[in-house]
Amino acid sequence: MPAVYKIADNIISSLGFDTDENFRNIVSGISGIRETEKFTLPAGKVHASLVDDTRLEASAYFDPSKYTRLEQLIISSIHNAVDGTGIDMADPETLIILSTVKGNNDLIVPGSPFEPDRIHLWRTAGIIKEHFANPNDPVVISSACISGTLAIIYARRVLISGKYKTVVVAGGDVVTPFILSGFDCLKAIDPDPCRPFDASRKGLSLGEAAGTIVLSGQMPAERDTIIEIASGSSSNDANHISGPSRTGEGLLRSIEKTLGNRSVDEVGFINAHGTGTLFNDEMESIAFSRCGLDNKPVNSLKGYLGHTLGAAGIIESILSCWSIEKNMLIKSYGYSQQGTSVPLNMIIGSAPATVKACLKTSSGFGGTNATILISKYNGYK
Amino acid sequence: MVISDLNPEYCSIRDGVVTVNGNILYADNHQEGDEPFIIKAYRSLGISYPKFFKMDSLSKTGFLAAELLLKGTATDNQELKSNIAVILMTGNASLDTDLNFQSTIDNPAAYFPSPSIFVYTLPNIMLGEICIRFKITGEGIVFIDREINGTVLYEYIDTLFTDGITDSCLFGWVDYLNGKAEAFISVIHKDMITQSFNQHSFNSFIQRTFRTSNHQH
Repeated sequence: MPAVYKIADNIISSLGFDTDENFRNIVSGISGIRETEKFTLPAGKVHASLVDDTRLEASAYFDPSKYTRLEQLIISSIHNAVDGTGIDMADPETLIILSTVKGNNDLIVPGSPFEPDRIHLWRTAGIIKEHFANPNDPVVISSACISGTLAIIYARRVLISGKYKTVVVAGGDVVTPFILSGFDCLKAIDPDPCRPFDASRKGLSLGEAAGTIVLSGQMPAERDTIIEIASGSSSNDANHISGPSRTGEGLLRSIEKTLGNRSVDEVGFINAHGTGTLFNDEMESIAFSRCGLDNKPVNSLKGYLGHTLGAAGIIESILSCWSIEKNMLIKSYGYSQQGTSVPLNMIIGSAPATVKACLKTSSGFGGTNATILISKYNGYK
Repeated sequence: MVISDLNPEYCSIRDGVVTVNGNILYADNHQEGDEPFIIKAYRSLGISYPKFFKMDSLSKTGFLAAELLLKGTATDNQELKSNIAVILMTGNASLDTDLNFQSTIDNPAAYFPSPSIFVYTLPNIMLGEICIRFKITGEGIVFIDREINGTVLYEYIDTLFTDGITDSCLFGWVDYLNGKAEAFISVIHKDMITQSFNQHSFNSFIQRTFRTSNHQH
């Protein structure tokens, strides 16, 4: 089977406007989750990871009055990823895939200055396509919290089919009162910054971000490390629409399909979904253990950037690619004490390490699970 | 290539008419004060699945189409169903339920967000409901597009078959907004693939079975 390579990437978040800035802040142990007055909840203070407004609007790529906040984030992210790399956005062999959970959900409030159809996710994708003069119909994937990981899996499959040369996978979501109220009424928001897998965890923190990962079937120009998306799959729990499976069944199946006939020894570390909710993190620990992966180093990156919904799978995959490229395992921020019934080998301090592959996992409402194997290219077939 | 060679089973819900393989199972005769169309269709078709009543309208619509297609047809085979890939597309996604949820938080004096509404503010919950009903544990994806996009559906199904990821796909379109329910769900198996399975025959199949189904009454 032909290989699919990462050829460019970008992250825009509370911790920076490119991947390098995000990666440096994260390795330095800085979290972007802060107390904010932009949003309120009946219980009081809100912690979230938010993108700096002034810096976003100062972006030279567009007139900010013509684009919604999410569109600004995604357009900036794609520009930052592709500009100067030789990737031709207007090429008929370039496909744009958009991963978003709630899209322009902030426009649901009456009085929006934008035309009514901007609320639709397909319209957001249309705006992005038009901005970049891309000739192909963009593909929009919205499958809850696994959207980003699933978009990478879809991109890999489309590239293997040979129809496109380059697939630009972009994703994002913004924090809105709607999303915050929703997770809060489910008692899924931690009043303090989230602490994935920790004994004291009480829920997630929301984050807004955009990410872009550009994939191609053509090997990138010479560089120290070439990264490939070696494999990927999804599986449904078929159990409950909002609660994760207690046995980790769907995640287990997805991991088994993604690893295929590879030995678990090939997995250098796991980048978990790790939202910080009691049930998600517990379910993941059970699934990892059942797959024989419970001794693998594990991190969740949500302690740095919060749960960024449609961006999560993309930006966490990018940071995991950089972990492999830079030979640096990232600490699981917010973790200090075992908080799952199965002990995991949590990464408690960022440190240099040489690893060959990362298993990235995502799980979400609707019983969805998706996993990918991100690997140093060395001829995996 | 003979277009009619590609002839999978399907269920269509459109303009108040429910059909399976072109046969009308239910046609709405709307009267003032009636229950919503999807609920009336459910009751009249003798389906018994109490969870139906807690679903939002999008999930009800998708569930009804999948139920009518998968129950009592050639695809009623549990082994097949557990590994089938589910590929759904929607235009309005969860907007109908989003508006409902927003109305519970709009007014600070009447702020009462409901968890049972919020969980349905994701378009893939309908996929989850179908998976729960039929114990489907295979691949799943929800695409968003303005209308049913045969190109995206065909390319993905073809890729899944070619790469050996699955042998069968439940696919289609489910949409709901402001009382307007639409669904088109079909199942295609790898062994149905012959020379006739291509982009053209696939689009023709959608065209003649779904896009034109509102002319049948």
